[in-house]
Amino acid sequence: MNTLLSIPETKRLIESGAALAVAGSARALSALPRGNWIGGTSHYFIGSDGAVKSDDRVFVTDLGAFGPVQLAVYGPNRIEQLTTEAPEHGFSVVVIPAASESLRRFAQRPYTSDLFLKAVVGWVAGVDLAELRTAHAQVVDGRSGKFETDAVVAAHVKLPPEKMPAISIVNPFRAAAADIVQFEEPAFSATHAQVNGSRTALADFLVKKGYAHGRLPLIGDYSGAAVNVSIQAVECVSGRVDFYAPVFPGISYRLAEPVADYAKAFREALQGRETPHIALSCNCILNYLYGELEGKRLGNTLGPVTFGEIAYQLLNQTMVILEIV
Amino acid sequence: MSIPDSTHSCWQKLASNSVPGFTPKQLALQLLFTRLKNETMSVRDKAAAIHAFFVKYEKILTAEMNQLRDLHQL
Repeated sequence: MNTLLSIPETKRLIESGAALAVAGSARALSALPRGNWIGGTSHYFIGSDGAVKSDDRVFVTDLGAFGPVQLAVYGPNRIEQLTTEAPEHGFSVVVIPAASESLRRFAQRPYTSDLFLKAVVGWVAGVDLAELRTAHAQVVDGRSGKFETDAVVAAHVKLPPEKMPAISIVNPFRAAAADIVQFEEPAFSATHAQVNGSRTALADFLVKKGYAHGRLPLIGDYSGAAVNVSIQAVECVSGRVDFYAPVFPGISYRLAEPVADYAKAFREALQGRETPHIALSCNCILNYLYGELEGKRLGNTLGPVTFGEIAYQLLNQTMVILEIV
Repeated sequence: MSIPDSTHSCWQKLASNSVPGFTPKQLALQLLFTRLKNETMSVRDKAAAIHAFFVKYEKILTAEMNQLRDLHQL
């Protein structure tokens, strides 16, 4: 099960002992009973009828359908334990609050031998866009009902030997050919970057190129995978540029070309995917917002609309899909 | 096609980026390759990491295995 449900429907599932990942508003999540679930705040969803905003329905993924589930909570000082405790054969679903120290540390985890051997997928909890300046993203440990603004909630799922997790991404953007941007250190912000080999004031460059609005990401080339980093703010006075995910040295970034029709781009990329294999997916709030996705169908991938996507590492403006094959 | 032993030369070649034309398709492998490029580990340790990934995810790495065969690395 991977679908939008009413609160009474979700209550019944929890009371039946199901192990769930739940996305919903703080009010909706507060109405759920204690049980074997993790959750995070989200007000926007891709449902079977298209993208919607809802405060009284929640998006539910039944993780117990795939194998035994163990829940865990990691504070910002225990992030490295996540992959250590993740199952050898299976996957882990994680939910992390936006703008938290936990998210910052997760996104900048050092390399370890199990970083890509263990499948970690999930999303970043957000807030109602109407309350962007006042509300805090939260995650929930359903066992205690405790809400946290700075922790990672995780569901570690063991798979049977014949099953395998396959995490993929759908990026609606194409990288523009011109201008290669490279950074000197891993960071969520930068004032300078190497642009086509010359040290350049990054804010000036983005303004000159018409990218200061933040609608279009930088696209990093990860051995052929197009990994987006969204531009959060361009401070022309200080020259500081903030990102929603860290940039890394050794990666060549390019500016994204504008997308005419986000929904069409997703539908075309998803053609041929078999629904039964899709365990969960999520898509970015910036795609929902800038792609004007409300009410539009995106194919057979349903899930929360989130403030960041996780496919081993933190991504932006991307659809993430977990398939069990 | 079975995964070659960890001592096979293909792993060290992959670890040192000396297999022109090899383009990983699986996201995790793409991320791993990129991360390893920027790590100050020995080529031997990088090769071991790549081999471990292939062993664990053999089922979903058919395209990559076919590439290695077509590039005459196997």
